Amino acid sequence: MRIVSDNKKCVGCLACVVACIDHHYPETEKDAVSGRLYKLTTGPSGFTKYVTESCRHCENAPCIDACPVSAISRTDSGWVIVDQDVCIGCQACASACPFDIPRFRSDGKMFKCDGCEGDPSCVKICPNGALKLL
Amino acid sequence: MSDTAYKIGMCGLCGGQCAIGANLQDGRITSVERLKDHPYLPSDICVRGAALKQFLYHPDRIQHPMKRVGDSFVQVSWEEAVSDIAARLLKTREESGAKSTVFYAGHPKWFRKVYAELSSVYGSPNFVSESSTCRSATAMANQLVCGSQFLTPDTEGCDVHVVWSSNPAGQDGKMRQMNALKAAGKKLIVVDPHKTALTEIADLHLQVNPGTDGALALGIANVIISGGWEDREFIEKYTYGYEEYREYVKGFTPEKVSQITGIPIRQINEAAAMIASGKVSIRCANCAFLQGINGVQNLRAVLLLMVLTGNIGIKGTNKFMKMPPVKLDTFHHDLAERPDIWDDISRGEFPVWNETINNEGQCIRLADVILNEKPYKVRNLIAFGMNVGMWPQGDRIVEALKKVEFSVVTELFWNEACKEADYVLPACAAAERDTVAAGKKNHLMFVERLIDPGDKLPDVEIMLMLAHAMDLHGPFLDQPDYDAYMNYTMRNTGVTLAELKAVPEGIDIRNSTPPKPLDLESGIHTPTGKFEFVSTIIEKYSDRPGHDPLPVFNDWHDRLAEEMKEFPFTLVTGSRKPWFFHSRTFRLPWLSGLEKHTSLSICSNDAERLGLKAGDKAILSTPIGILEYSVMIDDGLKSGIVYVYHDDGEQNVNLLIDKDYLDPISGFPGYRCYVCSIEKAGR
Repeated sequence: MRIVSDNKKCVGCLACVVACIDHHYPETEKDAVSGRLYKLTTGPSGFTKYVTESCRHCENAPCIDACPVSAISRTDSGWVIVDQDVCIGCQACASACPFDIPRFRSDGKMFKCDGCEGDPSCVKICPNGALKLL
Repeated sequence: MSDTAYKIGMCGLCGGQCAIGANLQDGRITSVERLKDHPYLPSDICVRGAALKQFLYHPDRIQHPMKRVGDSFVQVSWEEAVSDIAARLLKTREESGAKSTVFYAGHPKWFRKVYAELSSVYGSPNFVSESSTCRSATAMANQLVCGSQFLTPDTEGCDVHVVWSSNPAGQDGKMRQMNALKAAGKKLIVVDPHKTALTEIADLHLQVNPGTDGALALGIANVIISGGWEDREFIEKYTYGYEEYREYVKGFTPEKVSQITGIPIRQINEAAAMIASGKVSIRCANCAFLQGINGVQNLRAVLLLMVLTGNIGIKGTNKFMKMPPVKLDTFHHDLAERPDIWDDISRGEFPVWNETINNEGQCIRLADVILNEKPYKVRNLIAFGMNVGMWPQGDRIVEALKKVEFSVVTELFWNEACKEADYVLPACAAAERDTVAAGKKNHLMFVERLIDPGDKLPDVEIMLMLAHAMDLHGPFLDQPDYDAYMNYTMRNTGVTLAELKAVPEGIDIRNSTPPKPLDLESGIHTPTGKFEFVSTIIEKYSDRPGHDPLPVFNDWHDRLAEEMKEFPFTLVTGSRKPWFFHSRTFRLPWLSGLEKHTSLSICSNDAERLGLKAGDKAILSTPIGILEYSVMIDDGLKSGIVYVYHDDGEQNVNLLIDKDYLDPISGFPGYRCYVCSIEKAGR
């Protein structure tokens, strides 16, 4: 399972980024880290917008092997998730990830897309149908 | 024991009526989500709505009525606040007349019918609102040309759709509508100084220089007339003043227009050919280029392109606005009349406004009026929603609030206006009050509030309490409470609130008779009864500067020629970002934190020339003042253009815009075409 973005349809509104935060944190969390990452890109015409990406939930996820405390695992339905109670914040996963996905909260724990138990809030909110669950 | 629930309710953060799903725990929202579909209400929760819980539970929310005592505020009861405010309003009316009280309405608009009635029966001509910089100029231009304040573009029946300065990214389903239109084989023309998601899918993007839209429209008209593509029959039958207009547009040759607008001649010709090629509908943003010193005239020129080609009032074009089948009182149509409109605070400075938008006043001069006590002394300022960032040089509005004898601000958050008020009253957000919604398909729904409002009240309830305390009467004001008000808004549907509450899925109003749609025979309510190339209303005031009966193009570059020597860049403020709704959401860290710094946008060529890189600090200067911004590179902008978001909470760029740089017809500020210079900070 993974979430893919059709960047042609994406208008760069970042609703997915905030929906991810809304799903995972209480409103008092000012240091919330989203599982969807975004960056400003410029297309051939000069049109400049944000595009987003998130964890690919790789079939052979190198982060799972890299984690020295086995905080990262795969669920039965195929999502690669991190147990933040076990994570020690060593960032070995970040070094292993070929897509530069893991991010770290101020408490040092890794945060990334966990698939929202199979019903991702980012896919649900996307106003233009750019995000799809594969 | 913890109690979880899932409720469908209203987001309403931006004043819209999007239905959302909310997960609750012990009565508090824990997360929200988009509904897959809602049979009757829009379900387009956006990036702002995703942060709804941070909005609703923000520590800056006002929780109780507060009264100023010295330099601080103390909590008071609603009874004390209302009776004190009412007594004050009655006393000053006795002493100085009703006009010494200004009733200001911020955004949103749902309560305006009640508020206008309150101001009207109190007797003040000074019912004013944020439409002084937002909606009214559009309505004025439409009224002047078409005799109707709004026309609705038919996106389904058209062959060509024109979007003139609007960016649907992040808006409620507009981008989907545009994609569908393209998929159906229709052509799309987009006029915008900025490259957007919409210009990317356009068949033709006219990247117009800010504030030159009128010249572009006149130039396109010239090509159409030169080609003999105008709709002669339509012009003869339905229009007034064509010959004068035809003479005037002759001066707008493609060469000249290309030079003014920055658009290649080839594209001007192409646009003319497309507009003359079939059924055309056009969507103009509510303010966008109306916020310029020639805004009303520029929109008149754009609308007249539709008149010229017979693309108005019929299927596939722009149709007279169809009122929803179930009409409630939550949109600000048919507001109560203002008494003595020529004695309002604008004192006739904008006479065309008074002739066309007569049920509210133009308040762009509010700070001048209060600070200078001209044309008369304003003693009370009553505001339901007040954002000082709306005005150019809004710091002067703060000064005015300090000076005015008595002010009441009803608000969601403790903002700059609240800090200067004598009373601050807490308003419910949309998710905190019950709503009667008129949905699609002749359907009425009762939407229960998502969460308990505590001591906060719906704006309308506060207005009713004030009216009752002052013994003021009217059809709305005579309603005893908010439930009775909701019931009254349904009076033409044959359904009562009690009946509606009993049926959660809502009720179809099968027996309603929608008003007969207007057509070309019944819809043109100009003085001549025809679409006016030459405005007979403006003609009455043609001795005033800028009041040309023809849609004359006055170039702001000429007006600011001297200033441009020192300030060579074009400053455009007010273009939106999806995660902000003006300054309503800047407090929410999840939204304001999406971009680390408050920034100005320029293209990479300009940045390089100025020795700037993305993230560098730069000083933005205008003839009024300076602010520091972080640089963002946006190659969707042409060289020489600077975009700055208007008020992100940290910095309000409209502080730097001259308060007297106004459209003489509408009084709108020139937010979209001012001048500035940029240099690297620390130099």
